[in-house]
Order: sequence, then structure tokens, then C-alpha cells
Amino acid sequence: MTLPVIETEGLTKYYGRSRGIIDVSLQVERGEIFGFLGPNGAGKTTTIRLLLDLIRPTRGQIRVLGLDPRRDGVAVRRRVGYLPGELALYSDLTGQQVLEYAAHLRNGVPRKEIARLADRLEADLSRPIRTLSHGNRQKIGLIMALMHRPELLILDEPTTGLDPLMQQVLYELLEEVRRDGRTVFFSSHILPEVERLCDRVGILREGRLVAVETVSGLKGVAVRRMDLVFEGPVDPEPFRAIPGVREVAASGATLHIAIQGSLDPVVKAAAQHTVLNIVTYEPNLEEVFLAFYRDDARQATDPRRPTTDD
Amino acid sequence: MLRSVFLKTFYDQRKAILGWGLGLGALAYLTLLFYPSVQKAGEFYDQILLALPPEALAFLGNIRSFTTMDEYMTGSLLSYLPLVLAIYAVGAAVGLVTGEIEGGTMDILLAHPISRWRVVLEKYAALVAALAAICLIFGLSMLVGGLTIGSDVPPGRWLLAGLHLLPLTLLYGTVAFALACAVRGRATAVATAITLAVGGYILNGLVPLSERLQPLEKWTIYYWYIAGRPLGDGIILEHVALLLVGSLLLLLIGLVGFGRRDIVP
Ligand SMILES: Nc1ncnc2c1ncn2[C@@H]1O[C@H](COP(=O)(O)OP(=O)(O)OP(=O)(O)O)[C@@H](O)[C@H]1O
Ligand SMILES: [Mg+2]
Repeated sequence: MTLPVIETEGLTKYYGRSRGIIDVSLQVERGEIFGFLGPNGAGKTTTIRLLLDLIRPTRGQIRVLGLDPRRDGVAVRRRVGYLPGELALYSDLTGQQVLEYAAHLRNGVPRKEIARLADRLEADLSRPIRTLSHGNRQKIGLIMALMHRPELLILDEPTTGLDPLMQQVLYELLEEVRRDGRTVFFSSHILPEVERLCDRVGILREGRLVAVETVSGLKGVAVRRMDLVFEGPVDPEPFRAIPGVREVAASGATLHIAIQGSLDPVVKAAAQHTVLNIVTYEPNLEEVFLAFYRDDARQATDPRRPTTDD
Repeated sequence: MLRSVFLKTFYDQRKAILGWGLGLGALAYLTLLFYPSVQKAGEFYDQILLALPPEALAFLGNIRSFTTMDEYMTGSLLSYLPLVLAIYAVGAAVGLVTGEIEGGTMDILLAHPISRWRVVLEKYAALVAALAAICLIFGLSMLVGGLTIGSDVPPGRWLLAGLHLLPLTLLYGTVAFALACAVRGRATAVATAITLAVGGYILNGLVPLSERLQPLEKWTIYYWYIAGRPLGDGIILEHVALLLVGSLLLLLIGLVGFGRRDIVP
């Protein structure tokens, strides 16, 4: 078994008295794309900045590429590419100059790789950063993170500010990184991008890691909404009895159903009537979170489950 | 210019270096142009000096007369110039560290394979180089002024007088630099450094008022500068060394502090 690329153990950070993250134990394996999800203030940025040794843990252990980022920071950062959540670049330099500086700090980076990335992302490197829009700045930041072909990419909400076209390009670039056997760890609010890219996701809530799941597992617990349009009004009761169904509302000939897990039993039950249309809605992030919060709350009140306190 | 943190930082100071160097240099040049007429009317100006209270003279470097070049330049410029230059030193020092943390670019810098102590050392080296450059431009301006009025001060002395500003202003700048490295925000660093500079200068002016204040003279820090006279009896190497060692110790505090801190704006 190979060593995890990122490993944290009981990682805790308080900013003075204010909570950053609490007891986060996490493993990211080589070659995977790991998504880090959580609402605002959950602690995603805190975790990421701890991995880069920009801030120091209150408690707990960190290993990145098998090394301690505090003791062997230079060695770690040589092999890591990082995009901060709130990207700031030297505003009086051009994109080209910023990347030149970054390349010097890395003792040289192939120019061809910079050119390739700039081309893919359609980044304009000739203009001063100060004159660039948010999204166009983000592109420079992404090139900076990717240009030395790092073993591990740590990206804090990388798609913020990018238009849908450029988001797609970034997804492709990240998939290429995975194809090379390199690893991506990124935070996000956007479920479709997490679904599309990630092998596994970690969900952070109020500073605690509440779940680490594969994407299919995540979908399994997600509550999805569907509308069944029948020829005429249908009795909603049998649908309420189906396991996994959370909610059924009837309006005319239509049933609005919220369901967790497989849609199969609902579709089978519907087939007993004449169905004109079935509309399903992709679960949104909020619903996934809610599903996890519910599970989490249930576990917390389950007396058989050992509770941890701090 | 983007080859290293040192070069980039120094390059970023280029306008400030020229502005401060030429600005102070022009002041020195003009001051020198007046010297021949002041010297001619020597008695007149010396009467004014005699009429001044001793603490006022202390603020002007304890000069007794305007008739020698050393006393003239000290009284009209060199006595208070370190305080003026300290404004640059302190501002630049805090900007180099806190500016980059608050601006968010420190995140990017420290995400590269460069150690924190190396970042601190390169930035500090750039600060020293920038201050030295300003002092040198200032010295050169005095040299040109000296030649213009046909002064008999040897050329090297003018340059020495320029560089003599460096150890004291660097010390003030290093106080700010070290605190900016170790403590979050700008306020602590700026307030401490400015208090030290202005407080020392004022205290130095008050020392002649009372015998009891006399032992404080050496603690003003400013004393280690003003006692040396590059245009007169010469600089005092021990004093210069003392100021430089002080900066070195402060730099160590900055190095340790920066290594331990969280990078948070
Ligand atoms: N410098 C700081 N000082 C005090 N508290 C902080 C600081 N930085 C973060 N926090 C707190 O730590 C918690 C986690 O913040 P963090 O920025 O890690 O969240 P996040 O998941 O990245 O949120 P977002 O999605 O909004 O980027 C928040 O409650 C925040 O208030
Ligand atoms: Mg964040």
C-alpha cells in the first residue's frame, strides 16, 4: 500500500478563541481527485492553509507527501501546486512577469508548459494584473499552480470567477492531472463539479469532518426531487409508504416526490398508472448537506454510538 | 529583476529610492550653496546661536558656530535628517512584510519552495540596499554641492557623511521590520519605531537641561549617531558598530517571530 498523499490526524485549529476546524482526520490517496465540501465558514480554507504551513495547528498531525509541512516545508512545496481561495497577485506586474517570478522561485519551469496552459485557459499574459477581471486573474493563479506539474494540487475553490467554458477547461486539466497519476485536493461549493470530477469527497460542517464518501455514496444519501405526471389524479398514499420517500405532494394529476436513494421503487409504483411524464431534478448541494446533517444528528443522538466531546 | 525575492523587493523600491535620494540630495545641495554667504556673515549667525537656549542647540547637534562646514551642515541638516529618513525606513520596512501579508501576496510567495527565514533575509537585504542607495545619492549630492562652492572638504568625506546616516536609520527601520515580521498588523511596528526615533531625539534635546538627565544621553540611541562627525572630527566606529549590532539582534527577533507566526491578514 502506498502512503497517503495527504494525511491529517486530529487536526484542530483555533484562531484565538474562534473555531477554525476541530479534529479533522483525513486521508487523500495518490492519483485521486478529492473534493472538499462545506458551507461558508465550515473550515475548508483553514484546512488548506494548514496543509501549506501558512498557519499552524493548535493540535494534531499533518503529513503531506509523507513529510511534515512545518519541518520540511521547502521540500513539500516544491512538489505541490497551490491556488489560494482569495487569490492576490502583484498587481503592477503582468501575468507573464508574475509567472516568471514564480518560475524563478521554483528554480525554473519549462516555458512550454506555461505557454500550453495559457493557451488552454485563454489567459492573456501581457496585461498588468491590475487591469484583469477576477476570472482572468484566476487563470494566472491556476497556471502558477499547475505549471511545474506538481505531484499534488491543492486548490481552494478553483472555479470561482471562471465562466462555464473555462470551468470545463479546468475540469479537463484536472482530469489530465489524474490521468498522470497525480493527485488533486480541492474545495468547492458546487455539486455538479464535485460529481463530475471527484473520486471521493469530504464534507465539512462547522469545523468537523462529518463524512468522507465516494461520489456514488453521496448521491445515495442525497434527497432528489421528481415530478410524476399522470393521466388523471392518483392516490399519493402508496407512494408515501415506499422506503426512502421523504415527501409526497399531489397537485392535480401530478405528484411531487422527494426521495433518498434509488428511484426504482417509485418508478415501479408509478408504472401501475398511465404516466405522461417523469421529471427528475438533480439533487442540489443543500439537499446533500441536509441529508448528511440529518444522519449526523441521528448518530449523535444514538445512545449506542460512543460520543466524543472536547 | 524578478530573479529573486531580494531583486524584486529592491526593484519595487526604485522610485522611492530615487525620490528620497534626490529629494534629500537637493536639500543638501541648496543648503551648501548658502554656506559661503553664511560663513561671511559668520559673527551674525553665531550671535543667534548664542542667544538660543542649550536644549535648542542640542536639537541641532550641539553646534556652537556656523563657521565650520561640520557645524554648519550638522546644525542645518544632518542633526534631524535621520528622523526624516526614518519615515522612509519605517514605512518601507512595514510595507515589505505587512503589506504583502495584508495584500494577500504572501500566500503565493510562501507557497513556493522558499523557506520563511530566506524570505525575511532577502527582504531585509533589499531594505538595507535601498537605504544605502538613498544615503549614497544623498552623499553624492553633497559632494557635487561641495565642488560647486569650492569647499576644501575631501570628496570621500561627503560620501562618508551620507553613509553615516545609514546605521541609525537602519536601526529604526529594523525595529519596524522585526515587529512587522513577528506581530500582526502595522500599528505596533510603526508606533514603536516612530516612538523610539522621535522620543530619542527629544530626550537628547532635553539632556542639557539637567545634570540628572545626563546618564540618559547614551540611551537615546540617537546619541550613537550624533556624536560622530563625518565632516569634522570623524565618525566613531564603536558607535557605528553598536548600531549595526543592534539591528542584527532585532533582525534575529524578526526571523524567529516570522518563523513562528500564522500568516493571517
Ligand atoms: N483569521 C481568522 N480569524 C478568526 N477566525 C477565522 C479566521 N479565519 C477563519 N476564521 C474562522 O474559521 C472558520 C472557518 O473559516 P474558513 O475560512 O476556513 O471557512 P471556509 O470553509 O473556507 O468558508 P468559505 O466557503 O466561506 O470560504 C470560520 O468560522 C471563520 O470565522
Ligand atoms: Mg474558504
